[in-house]
Amino acid sequence: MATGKKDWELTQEVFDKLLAQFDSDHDRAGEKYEAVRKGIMKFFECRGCLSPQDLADETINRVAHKIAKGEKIHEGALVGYFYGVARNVFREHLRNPVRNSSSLDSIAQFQHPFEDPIEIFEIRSEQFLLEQRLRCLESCVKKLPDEARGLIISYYEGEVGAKIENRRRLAGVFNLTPNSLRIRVHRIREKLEDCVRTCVQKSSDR
Amino acid sequence: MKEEPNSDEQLTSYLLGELDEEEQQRIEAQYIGNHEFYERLLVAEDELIDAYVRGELSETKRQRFESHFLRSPERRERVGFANTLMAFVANQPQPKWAGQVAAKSSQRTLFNFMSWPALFRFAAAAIVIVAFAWLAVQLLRSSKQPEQPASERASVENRQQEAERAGQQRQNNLPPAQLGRNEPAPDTTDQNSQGQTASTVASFTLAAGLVRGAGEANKLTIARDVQQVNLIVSFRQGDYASYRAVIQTVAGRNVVSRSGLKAQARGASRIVLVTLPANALANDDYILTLSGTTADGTTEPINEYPFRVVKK
Repeated sequence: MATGKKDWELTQEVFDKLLAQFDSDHDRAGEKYEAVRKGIMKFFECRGCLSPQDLADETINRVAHKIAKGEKIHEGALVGYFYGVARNVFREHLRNPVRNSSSLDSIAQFQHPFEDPIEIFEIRSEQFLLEQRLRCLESCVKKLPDEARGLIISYYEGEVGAKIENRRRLAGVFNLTPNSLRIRVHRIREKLEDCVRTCVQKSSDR
Repeated sequence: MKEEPNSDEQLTSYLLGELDEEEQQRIEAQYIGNHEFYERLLVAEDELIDAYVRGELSETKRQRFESHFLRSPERRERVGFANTLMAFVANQPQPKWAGQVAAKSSQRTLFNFMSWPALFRFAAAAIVIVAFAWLAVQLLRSSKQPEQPASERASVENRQQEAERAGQQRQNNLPPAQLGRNEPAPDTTDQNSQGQTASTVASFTLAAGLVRGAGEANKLTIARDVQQVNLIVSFRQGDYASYRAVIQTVAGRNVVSRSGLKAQARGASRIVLVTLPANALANDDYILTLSGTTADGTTEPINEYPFRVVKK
């Protein structure tokens, strides 16, 4: 399953060298690194890979390995370098039938090639999970500042035409451009999503 | 007309895996390492997921979404979250947000509302809140339940307020697009559960595959204090502009009919929500007939769902 390259380990020293390539300021380097890591993960996800995080880690390891071996990469070309390595990792991933295969459990239920005989059981499980998520979401929403709470609830108001009009009005109320409003809502939603994920995980562990 | 580079439509196509290699690379080269662009992509992703959850995607896009976008477990989890978020928002009381927005608006506009005398401020705020609430009710009346009588809706609204006050509200996984803001949060039961309906609303799932037992009808056990019944009708075949559900007794007496229903995707199945007052159902055997209406108005039968009501 693993290729020779994947067996290579990322030590703290090598990782620090990698970070230094991003920026001389350690904090800024960390932010830039994180942006690249997220982007690489998204790349694998958008290309339909089943384990984007593993492939992103593999990409980072390879780049770090090159740098540790003394390869010089100009700061301006670093992101492009990462992307190039990510594409190589992706091509290898496509060629590797074991990595690229998926069990029935790992694909969506509705992609199964036959009718699921325990559909109703799954509907119930789904209902249970949704109720659990709802309880978590209620508690997470309460933790939001008043303005963020009001914004996210108002933003998702209405359907189709009413929704558009509602968002236009909200942008005016909050003195934001439509795009800034979308991004602001996305950030609130992202926080909620993280909070709900953690909450559901904790509930499941109990 | 040539599309703007990296328009929302292009990002959506990228997320659905519809772009050619060159276009994909152009987008990827922009978002990797560029937080601003990456965030734009995430916003497009949120909106795509929401459109799927609300049933707003075309059939082609929906299929593409399910076959390509939903490959990763993380994305499926995000769809689950979106479902939850929509259900949560749909069950928030209307006047609350209207008041918040009204208050927010008053702080930010040049109209300088805060300089008004207090009495005028209260009066104006009350008018705004009532106006928003009225507008929301009108929108719901016009877009959601075309055949539901006004008295029934008003009753449902009252029941929601009562349920909220009593802290009895529970929510289930009905698709948000089917959950009216003025509907109470449904209690969740299914046709195989008995005696579970403690709150004012009971929900049951009618799945076509489960109703073909040898003479054993689906039993819906409805507690006496239940006021509203939600029937979640699941089916697999047929994609129509709208749906019609007719409930009759086995003797052929019409009990209730609902037209203009919209379906929601639920995995390989689709579901429609049929809401009716609990007192429309007695201890009896019923058949729900679901049909689809095409864009040109032709009606085609989809499924029949026999069920038995037992009131306790």
